[in-house]
Amino acid sequence: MSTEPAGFDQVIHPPARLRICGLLRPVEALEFSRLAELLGLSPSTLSKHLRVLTDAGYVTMTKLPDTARVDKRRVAWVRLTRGGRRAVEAHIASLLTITGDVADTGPHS
Amino acid sequence: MIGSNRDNPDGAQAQELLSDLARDRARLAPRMRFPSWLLPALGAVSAAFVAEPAIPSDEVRQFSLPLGLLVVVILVWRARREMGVQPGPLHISSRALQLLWLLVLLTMLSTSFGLVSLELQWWVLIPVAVTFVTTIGIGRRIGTIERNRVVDVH
Repeated sequence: MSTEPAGFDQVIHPPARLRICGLLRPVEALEFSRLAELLGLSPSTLSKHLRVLTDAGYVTMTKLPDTARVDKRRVAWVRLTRGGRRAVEAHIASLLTITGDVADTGPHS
Repeated sequence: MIGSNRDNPDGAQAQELLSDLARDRARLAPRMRFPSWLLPALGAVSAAFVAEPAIPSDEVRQFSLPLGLLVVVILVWRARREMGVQPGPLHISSRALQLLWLLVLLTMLSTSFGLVSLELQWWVLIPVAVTFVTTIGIGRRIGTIERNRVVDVH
């Protein structure tokens, strides 16, 4: 295995997880079903990836009751933690380093 | 581990991953469009606030501000739920537009007070209409700025 560039994160790197983090990066939070829809992932697959990211302390999920639904099912909001944001920024910076593009990587630039 | 990949990407693979992220953000941006009812509803609440000096009942005026704020909180909460997105902190341009909206609101409110003091109650409809239109216009502009920002993130 070659040497990893600084900031490269093996927890984030698998494409599905990187895309989850990439979608969460420019927003405060995304609803679970919206995230699954945008990624084209089944809820069970998304849940498995989110569990890995949650266990790493990169993502949190907040479940709230949805009063608009007749069955009162809970709605899960997914967001990056502060540490998760730092790790994603560092990982994306490492990808840019690999491509030779070291442009500004800030989410709110 | 789900989908684990211990191999480090080469330049082409890294570029492909970054392109995937850009495509995802392009798909996310339209989902950040406000529900069609949100801006007219916020415009109506703002316009009602500006119309307040023309309301003769003190009891109604006493509760209009907290009630208006509560309605705004409920509208924004409902819109976020419908969008499935909670936007991040606003861009500085959007903040400047928010400040401009506040200035327009306060100017129109003081104009309403002036018109009522001159016993020109019906003329209050003009600042009310200006507030309604301004709220919708500025809201749309802020929405556009925030959607473009999502796409532009590196």
